[in-house]
Amino acid sequence: MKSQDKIKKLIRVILTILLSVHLVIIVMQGLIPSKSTIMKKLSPWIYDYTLMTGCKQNWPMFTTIPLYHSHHVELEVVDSNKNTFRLGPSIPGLKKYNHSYLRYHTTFSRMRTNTYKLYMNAYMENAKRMIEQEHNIKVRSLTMIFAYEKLQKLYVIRRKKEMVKSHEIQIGPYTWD
Amino acid sequence: MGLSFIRTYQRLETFWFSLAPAWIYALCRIAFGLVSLLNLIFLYPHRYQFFSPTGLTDQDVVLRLIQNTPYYSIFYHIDSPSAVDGVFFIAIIASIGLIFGFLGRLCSIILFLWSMSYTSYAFTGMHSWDFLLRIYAFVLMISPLGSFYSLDRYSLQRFVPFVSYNRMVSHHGLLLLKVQLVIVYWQTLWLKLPDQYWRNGELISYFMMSMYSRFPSIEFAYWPIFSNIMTYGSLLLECFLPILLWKKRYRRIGIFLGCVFHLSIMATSHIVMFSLTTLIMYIAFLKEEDKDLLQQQYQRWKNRN
Repeated sequence: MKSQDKIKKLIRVILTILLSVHLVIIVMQGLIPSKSTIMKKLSPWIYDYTLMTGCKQNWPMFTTIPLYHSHHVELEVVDSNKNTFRLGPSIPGLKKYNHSYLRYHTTFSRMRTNTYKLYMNAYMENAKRMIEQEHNIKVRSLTMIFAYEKLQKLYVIRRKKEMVKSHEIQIGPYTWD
Repeated sequence: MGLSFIRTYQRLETFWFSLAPAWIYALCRIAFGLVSLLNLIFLYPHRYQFFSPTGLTDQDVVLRLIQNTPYYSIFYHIDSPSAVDGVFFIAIIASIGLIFGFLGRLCSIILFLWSMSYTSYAFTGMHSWDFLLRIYAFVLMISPLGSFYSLDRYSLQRFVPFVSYNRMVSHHGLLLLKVQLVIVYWQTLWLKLPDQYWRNGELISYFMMSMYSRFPSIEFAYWPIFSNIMTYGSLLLECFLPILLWKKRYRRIGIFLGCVFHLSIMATSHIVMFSLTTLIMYIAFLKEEDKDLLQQQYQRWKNRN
């Protein structure tokens, strides 16, 4: 065997091993539930590899019913003169909430959960700074207002002939001296 | 012992490096480039909101959260909106490059880095298709890109006419895409099955009245049979599509049913990107005889007209 062929063969062996290990890892991470004992034991080995290769995956797509028919988010601002007004939540620019682009719904819905509390806290600080710069005021408090039309249960819809019920959630107020 | 080990290894090598037509990779490359470009076009007007340091995602928070993890993103080091523009510009060029097969390998590496970057930074606004695109980018980066339908081949053949290209290449990348399809469908099925609304067949009624529906209407509350058929049909497809696609005999039926399934989702909901992204995996199930069949059909149609 020529030395060139030997190198080719060696590369092929290495690739076969790497691809096989990769396949085993993605199948295990993809198909064995993360709460199982096997995965709890193996995840320290698997986790970093799947993060580095971008192959970490979780597919909880519509694992239960969607809750909302429509959604809207606004920021309620109280300034140092106790004037109250509302602004769009998209920073920079404090643009109005964009209903047609799903990523805004996903972002704000996640941010209001406890898991993403750090994101929400930082967002409020950034929004305050931006409002003060753009409107030349001193912000005293900020509240994020989620206005939803929540889908009712099917038996309620059939009985009352009403598809949705309006629903409002407030996050905050975040206050500053 | 030694002999059986060698045989096992040889089987493994054949499993990974059997040959597949290069045009299938070329189709995957073009489809991935198109879907990536579309994703970038949708993201572009919102780039400052999601990726600038003064946007919805605070850079300091992200940097604090990713400490001691192997996440990496170009957006961790960006401090101005014009740098965000620059990253988008490079990603758009790489997508176009991949579509036309111009510096394909380099473009696939750039798109992998782009996918890692944007999904790791604006994590709160990410959807399933973003992660699927990230996985494709990795697979494409380690696959033969398919010299078919590419400017690389055209330009090289023009200047170096004696260069020949392989019509058949290793199928390891296609194999990874096929396995990916199984993981997506079976994991989501596993997660859906315990849910009461999937079990009682009401899920589609709720879905069609929700913000995700293209035609949300109260009427769907009064069509329980329709909801039952569509809900159980979706579960059945997610369970059996991977089996149909992997079985040689039922492969075409699988491709047809999968396309109908995802095109219906696209037609009735706002989740267009997910269906488009998922359909890329179906390309990996194509075979040489499909091309022949299409060519025959086209010839027949041409003769008739």
